[in-house]
Amino acid sequence: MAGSLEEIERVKNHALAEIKSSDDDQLDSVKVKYLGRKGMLTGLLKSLGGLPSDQRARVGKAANEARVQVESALKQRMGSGPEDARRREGFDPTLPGRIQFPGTRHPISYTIQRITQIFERMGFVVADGPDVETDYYNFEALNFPPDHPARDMQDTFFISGDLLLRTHTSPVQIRSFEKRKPPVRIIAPGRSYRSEAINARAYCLFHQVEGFYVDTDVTFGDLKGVLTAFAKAYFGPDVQLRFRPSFFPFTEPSTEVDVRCYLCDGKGCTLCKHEGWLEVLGAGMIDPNVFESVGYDPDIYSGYAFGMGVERLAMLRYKIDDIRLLFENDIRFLRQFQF
Amino acid sequence: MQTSLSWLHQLVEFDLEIDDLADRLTMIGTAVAWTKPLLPPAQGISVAEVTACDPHPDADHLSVCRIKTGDGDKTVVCGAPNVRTGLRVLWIAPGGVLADGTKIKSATLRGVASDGMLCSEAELGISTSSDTILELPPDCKVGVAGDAVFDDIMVSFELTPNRPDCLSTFGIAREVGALAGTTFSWPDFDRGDLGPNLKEAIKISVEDPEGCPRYAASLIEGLTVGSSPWWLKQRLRACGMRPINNIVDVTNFVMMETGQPLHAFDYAKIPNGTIVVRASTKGEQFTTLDSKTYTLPEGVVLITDGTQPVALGGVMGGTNSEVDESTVSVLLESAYFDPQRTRRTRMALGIPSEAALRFEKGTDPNMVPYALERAAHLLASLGGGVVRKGSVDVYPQPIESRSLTLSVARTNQVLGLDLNAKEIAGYLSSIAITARAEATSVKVEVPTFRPDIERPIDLVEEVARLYGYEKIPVREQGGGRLFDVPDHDASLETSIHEYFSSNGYNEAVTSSLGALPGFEIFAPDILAVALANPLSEELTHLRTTLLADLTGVAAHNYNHRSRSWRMYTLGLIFEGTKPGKAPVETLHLGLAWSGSDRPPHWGALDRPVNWWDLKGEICNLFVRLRVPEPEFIPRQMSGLAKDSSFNICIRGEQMGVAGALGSAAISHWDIKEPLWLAQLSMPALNRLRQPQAEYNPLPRYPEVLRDLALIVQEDTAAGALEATIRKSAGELLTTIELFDLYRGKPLPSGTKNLAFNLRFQSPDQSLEAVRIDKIMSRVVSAVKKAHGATLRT
Repeated sequence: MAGSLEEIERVKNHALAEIKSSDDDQLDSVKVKYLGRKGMLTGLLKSLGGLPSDQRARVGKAANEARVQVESALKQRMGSGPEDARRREGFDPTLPGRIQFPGTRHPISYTIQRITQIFERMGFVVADGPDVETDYYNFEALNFPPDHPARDMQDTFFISGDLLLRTHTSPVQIRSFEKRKPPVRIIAPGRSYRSEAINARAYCLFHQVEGFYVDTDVTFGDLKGVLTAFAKAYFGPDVQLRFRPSFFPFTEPSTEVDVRCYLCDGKGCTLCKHEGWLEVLGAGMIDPNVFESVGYDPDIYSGYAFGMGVERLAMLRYKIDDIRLLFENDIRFLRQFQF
Repeated sequence: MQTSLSWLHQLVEFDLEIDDLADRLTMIGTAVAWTKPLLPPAQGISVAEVTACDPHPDADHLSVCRIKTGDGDKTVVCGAPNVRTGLRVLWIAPGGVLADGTKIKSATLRGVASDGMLCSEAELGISTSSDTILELPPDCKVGVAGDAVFDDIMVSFELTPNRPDCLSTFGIAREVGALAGTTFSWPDFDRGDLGPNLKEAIKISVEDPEGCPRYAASLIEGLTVGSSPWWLKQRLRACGMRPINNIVDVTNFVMMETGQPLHAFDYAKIPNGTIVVRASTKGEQFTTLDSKTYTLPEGVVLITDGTQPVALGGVMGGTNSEVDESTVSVLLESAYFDPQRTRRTRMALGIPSEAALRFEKGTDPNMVPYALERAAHLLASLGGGVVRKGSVDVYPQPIESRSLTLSVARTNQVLGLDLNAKEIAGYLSSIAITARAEATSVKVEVPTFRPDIERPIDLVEEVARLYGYEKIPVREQGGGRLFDVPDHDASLETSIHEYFSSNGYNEAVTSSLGALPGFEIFAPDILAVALANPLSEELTHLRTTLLADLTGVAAHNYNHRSRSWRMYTLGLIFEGTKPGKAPVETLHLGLAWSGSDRPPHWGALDRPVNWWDLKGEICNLFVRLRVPEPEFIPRQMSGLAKDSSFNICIRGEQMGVAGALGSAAISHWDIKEPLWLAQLSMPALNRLRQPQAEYNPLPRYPEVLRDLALIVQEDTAAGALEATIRKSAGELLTTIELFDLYRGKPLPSGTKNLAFNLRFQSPDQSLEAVRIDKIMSRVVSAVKKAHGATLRT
């Protein structure tokens, strides 16, 4: 492809014709085609080095002239700057601008971040523990005796020996208590697993945020206080809470916490299954047996613990009606979350 | 647990509407799941009497009935075999609507016009039984509306496992009494004439008192098996149970009433009336009522007749001693079985048994005689039999109420209340816990129907729920006396989220469980941890790589026509160590980039994403995270494409992989788009992060620019060439940038031209051209020596 004068002439004429006949929105690609780094005219100029020196000057000059001509023809049509562009006929400022793919956070990880930040403001610090746990940390130390019906509440994935996938983030309580002396105030987000058939409402794993506080004077009133403060921050200042007696082996007394359904304001709708309330978390005062298993004196210390399901909170907040959407990672779903 | 409103009214005094009752029960921890009328709502249903019943002239299985209704006499065609003259039935008039929404019209059946229809239980929506019509008791008044005949409301509970006392109508009545301020006590019942002494007819010995601490039995003779009276059927229906016959119905009814499971043996099938309770030996076989044969493990509590087993204690009876239509005498068992032993048997054999679920949660050992006597006399009165006199009750070590002392101060400390001893005692007495107020404590006797109350803290919960969680005042404390640092530093994660979500990436959250074949494509050398009880074939192992998840996500998106996107995920991968040992869990960052380099635009061309895009992104990220510039070492990594697969290394430490999807993965997931992937270790990134450098004064002297075009052999790596330039140029060289790569004429084949832009600058003086010339010639000879590079002129 050694540049001959003839070839230069041919490329130049092609270029000028194409500039003349192209639509405005094609001009950029015409420019690339001829003058880009790998463009046809650029290629001709680059190949000059391969010519015998006597030809080089002559052909070089012609090639340069051709480039100048093409550039000025382009400039005439495209304009050189915004001023020219605006003057130019056919300039349409409503054409879309050049954008990047929209980046997004996943609603689960964003919800965890939001919850964690709220508690961090209240003096909680973050801790974590492994997903693969032992029976001791997941059950025994949390006051689930062997052969106890309470274990049925948690469909467990077993691995081998006494290893299992944690069914809740509560083992982080035990691991934290073993490492620290009271006062202890911790928030522990993490992944938990339940051997449940996958459907619109249940998945084989979920995310939980565990929180707990142990000191010499912690009461059920404090538990209500901290959860009320959290709910106001998360759901808004008008949220109404309901504390309902319940049962967890590792808390006594235990409570389920409901928020008044924000969709129907408690009148009853499909979201709250016509109950007017949405169950959002479980909590209670830490059972003395838990303190005994970690060597805290239950006569001196008291504490509260709570655990909330992240998927549940995210699904309520964004009205997601099928939990599987959260793990499918369909781009059309993910791109809806511009937090 | 399910019971009925009218039953509760019969047992305890209260004046609460059903909705209010349900709410208040829920708020004291006896959670009501739902309430429903016993007869599902329908229109146009009323009582009618069949006054004549003739065969249909044109159909064998149909009858033409004259009926008396509240609306005069009518004719209906009925297909039920049990329709007969004199029967009271529920009739739905033409224009009526059944519970399932079916509208009833006048119809002509094989030439005979039918005014509405006589209803079966299925049509009424109370069971699935559709063969026969529902038979009402003869005292039902013609014309009365259906819902007046079924005037009751079912109440279903969703109880926590710590409250076995509420698995009975008695237990619920006790809670209702506490709410209403009234008292529930066990009702008395009618006893008929008694037969000869029981001890002459049955002999019981318990060889396994640990598994069966109490075993009592009764004998009812001269029975006729038949259907139960209307009131009993209604009670069972209200509890969600199907009436069967008087014997089965009585045992079920008394269980729903008292919480005590009972078992009826056909006395004729128990030789000499001998019952021996013992633990099973391994390998014994037993066939249960539902005709399933089980091979037993050791330690199942067995009820035997002295030679062969007749029931699995507390779980299920056997076919060999079952009552049937011809049963005349019933040996009725009422016992207390050990909760843990019962649970082990149920779990080991996988038998779903209502009785076992109750025993394993803990029944009341001292309910045994009451329930037995109650059931025996009820059965005798319904079946026309006689109960034997006396009792046989093997209870070697009576289980007694538990004595506890509850500190008033402790109660208030946990709850944040200010109750006195008398108030605390009051709350406890309201649910039949004996409580005596003393100066600073409450002395408590916990009855045996509350096995869950073992410690003072359990009493605190009782006080709290009866006081009302709602009323406990909220305390809003400040920061307290805590000043703590987290043991988890999330700043790297935060930076990563910020970087990717603002650079066009969508965050993915994927399952940490998956299938082994996918994991093995990317991580064949990592031991994957298997679940012992996987849910499905797709979820058998803990993941050993994030790349399998990301490829799976890509496949999902391609199936939905989303081809151009970038994605990142943060997730644990699990490296197995030894069987039985916990795996090593490490957080990783996964990246996937698919399709085009950018969204299509009218004014600029997009192009397929390539290695330089991915490499550049990783380099950008590292700059942002203050991690040193990585090296990308070409190496065949499992799962990645042969010529586009790289190790990411920093100072010789491998901390990630990057590349294009390889052919094994392409065919495994059936991928049809270009897909670039990377996976990086988060602990490595964290370790390699540099502190934010100190500020560099802005240069006061101008920089000097030089271009350097070098011709090198094709196999000379640009990176190596650049390193040589840097090294030989010395510290005045501030930046070096490759701006052109050219192959082809006039270059000799097998060579390429690399053109660099070099910037020189000194912090303390202006640079003279001569000095830069010197540096440049040093560079030129260095690259010539090291790479055989020549200057392009």
